[in-house]
Amino acid sequence: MIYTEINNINQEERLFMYQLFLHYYRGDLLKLPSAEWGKLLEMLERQHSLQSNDWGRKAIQQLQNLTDQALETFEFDFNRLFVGPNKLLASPFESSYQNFEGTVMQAETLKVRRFYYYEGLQVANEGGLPDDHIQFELEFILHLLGSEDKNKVLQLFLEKHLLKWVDQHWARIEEHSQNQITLAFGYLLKGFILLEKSLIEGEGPLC
Amino acid sequence: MLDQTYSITRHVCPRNCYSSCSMLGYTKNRRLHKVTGDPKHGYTKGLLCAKGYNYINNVYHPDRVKYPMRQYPRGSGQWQRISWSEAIDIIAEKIIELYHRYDSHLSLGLNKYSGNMGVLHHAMEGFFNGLGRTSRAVGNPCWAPGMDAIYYDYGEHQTSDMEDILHAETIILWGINPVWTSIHAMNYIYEAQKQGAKVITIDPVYTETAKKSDTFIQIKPGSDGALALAVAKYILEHNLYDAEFLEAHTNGWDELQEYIQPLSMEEALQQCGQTIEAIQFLAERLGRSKPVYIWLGFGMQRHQNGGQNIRAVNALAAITGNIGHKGSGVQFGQRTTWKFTYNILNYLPTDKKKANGVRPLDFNNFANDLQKQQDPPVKFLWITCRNLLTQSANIQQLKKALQSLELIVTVEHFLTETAQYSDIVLPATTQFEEWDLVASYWHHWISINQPAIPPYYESKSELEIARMLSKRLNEYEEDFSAFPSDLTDEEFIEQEFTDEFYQSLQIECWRELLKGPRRVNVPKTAWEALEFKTPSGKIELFSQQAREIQLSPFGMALLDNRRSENYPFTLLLNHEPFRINSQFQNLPSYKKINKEPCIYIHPSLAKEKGIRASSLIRVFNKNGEIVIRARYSEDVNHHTLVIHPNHPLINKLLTFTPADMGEFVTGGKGNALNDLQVNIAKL
Repeated sequence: MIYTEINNINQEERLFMYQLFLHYYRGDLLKLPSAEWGKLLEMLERQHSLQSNDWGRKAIQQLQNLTDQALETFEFDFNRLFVGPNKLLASPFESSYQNFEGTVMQAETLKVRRFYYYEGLQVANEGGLPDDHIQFELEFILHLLGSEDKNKVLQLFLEKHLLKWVDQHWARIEEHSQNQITLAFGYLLKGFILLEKSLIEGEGPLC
Repeated sequence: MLDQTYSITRHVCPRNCYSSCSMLGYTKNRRLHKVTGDPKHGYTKGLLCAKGYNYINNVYHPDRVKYPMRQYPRGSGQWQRISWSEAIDIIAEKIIELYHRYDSHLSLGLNKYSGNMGVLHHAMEGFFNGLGRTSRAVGNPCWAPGMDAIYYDYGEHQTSDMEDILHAETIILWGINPVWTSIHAMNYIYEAQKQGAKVITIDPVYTETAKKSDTFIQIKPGSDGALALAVAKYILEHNLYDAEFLEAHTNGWDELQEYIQPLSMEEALQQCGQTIEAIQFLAERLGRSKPVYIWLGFGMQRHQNGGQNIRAVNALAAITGNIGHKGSGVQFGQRTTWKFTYNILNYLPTDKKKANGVRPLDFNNFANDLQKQQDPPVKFLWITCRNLLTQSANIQQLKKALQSLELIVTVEHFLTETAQYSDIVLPATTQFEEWDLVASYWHHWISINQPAIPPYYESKSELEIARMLSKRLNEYEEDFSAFPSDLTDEEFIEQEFTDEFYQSLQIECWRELLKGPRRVNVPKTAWEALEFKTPSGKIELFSQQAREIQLSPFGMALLDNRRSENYPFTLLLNHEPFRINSQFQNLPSYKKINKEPCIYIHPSLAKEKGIRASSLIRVFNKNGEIVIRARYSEDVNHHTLVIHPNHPLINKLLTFTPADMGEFVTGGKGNALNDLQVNIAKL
């Protein structure tokens, strides 16, 4: 990958993308009316950095050709991948990938929790749900993203957590997705993570 | 800040198992960190089994059901997340609509079994009782024939404390494999062995327990009664019986002698596959190396003559005076410590127009009864503590019968095959997230279960679900449901105790159970007073009660020759140590132990059939056919095959074959699951 080509992602775009993924994994987009998907697509098309790699382009292409059927079955596929009640086909928990047994709420989850605590944050209903759900990790990143003095923490968190497992997560999405939207968001994630990785490798400002 | 200290909570394993272990949960920062045995438990003494030690991986399994989910159409895999209030509304509306349609609640069905043995897990039965007369699966697939047999012979169900085995000279483990299915018992057995007791295992399979015994007698499946008869005949002929005991404490010895005398020893030997030397050995141990402690497993009564098998061994123990004395007895299962009030079941409708009680649907013949009962038909089914579609016979018929239902609700931890076939699945809490009380059907200890951690995601206890439903229904119409929605979990617990029960536990308040499990003050040796609640007040070798319902008054009988030529092999479904039927199947580490289902086959039979080791074979009978990997094993004999029933494959071969007994105690006949006759062929 050529660094100069892709390292043109600006902070505004990063904020947008992290927010988008947070909404996605929180399930907010499941309620998005059909008409709104066009608007979302337009916003994505304006993210220039995304267009700089194949994955971003593929994601946008998928969303450009959304069928009614894809909209109808989006929720079912989203649940198959991330929510259940079936065996999760692309678990949204970091520990599913990092823990020996795939068990959540173990040492791997606690390490994530410690990051949150370090920043004075705590997951609501702590203990009732794993702190290393991708939704919380994204929310934490968004919290750090705004302030320059969090640069080091953010880099550490990305390197030690999200970036460590998100590739495996994405590979499972690609393998099991049966829906244009979940696949598009898989591509988006893959493309965006590539940009994030190159940003870290380039040691540019993360916050 | 991260808390550095643990809070320790008491729990009890609610699975259908002998041990009902008390456990300690170590929680830090609202996270269950580890689970250990509770050293204050007088039977399990701080030890758990492999499953118990793995609870963390069960509680924090990423695939646990997290939210109420709705599936449309049923079985499509198209799941939508719904809120609890939506779920409760959908269910309540259906209950109301069906009530108006049929002018009764009989179209509501409940199928619950032993997935959780906790007292508060009777909440859904309590809820259904609170509506009026509803339909319910009644019966028992497990111990039904044996429980009736014990009832006919002794009048009630008692066991001795396991410490009692230390007084035994002879220990007979008859159809039980505690190394795999009741690990805590082994310490007591080893200790007795150290003190000089001889351990004899009688089993169709050379089990891990048999390998640790002094003597192993390999019998043909289901021939336990024939073996007992042969031994009884030998005892009679060689005056090894205890005449004094028989005179004082049994009823029907003269009749039994007359009945046994003409029966053929040769035929009995042939049926159980033993030599006269084995019979002599057993008879002499029973008659001369007393006390003899006999433990009967649950497999030997899963035959068409299963109840008779148990009665036969009961008779053998009685004939030799091995009942009621320290270190003796026939141990099967007990109910004397279950002294709870079961108030949770007794909130009945105050409206006198509403009938109470249940319309029974045979537990073991559920599909058939669902189709048969049409006035009105069952339209709504609530499934809880039960994996109906993997643990039933006649699966195809069952699936067909379920198609006519309008709403199926399953309460579960995971998306089981049953939940997959439901309209709504509700996420249930585990024993680390709820209150409960558990007694054992084996030992005499009562344990409490308190919550350690918050409910995982949106899961709720059955009690909470029952309260929510009741509340919602009463908002619709006052007094529609009598199940209380305003009592707390702890208030429900309090109501389960009486002063008498407290005295028996030597406590004044149930909260004292939080300091440790308590032993119910029952005799340490079963029937030590030699008083029996039978009609005669004695052990009934001749049971008029049995005769009145067209059973043989004697426990002992030779087998009918029912081996089929087309299906000459007996397939046994023996439990293995890492799962309880369909529970614990999804733990990754266990999956590595048994990667795929297999059938154990003796090499000589394999050779005869041209079956190579580890090859796939066909196993078939009149009900169906499965393809499964064959593993050679010299632990089974030539005519016996074994499959560990930890996968649904086996259901294709199973139908409902009524056992001889079960109706009296459990409300339905047992299923003769171990009379499964099959044939095999290489692929």
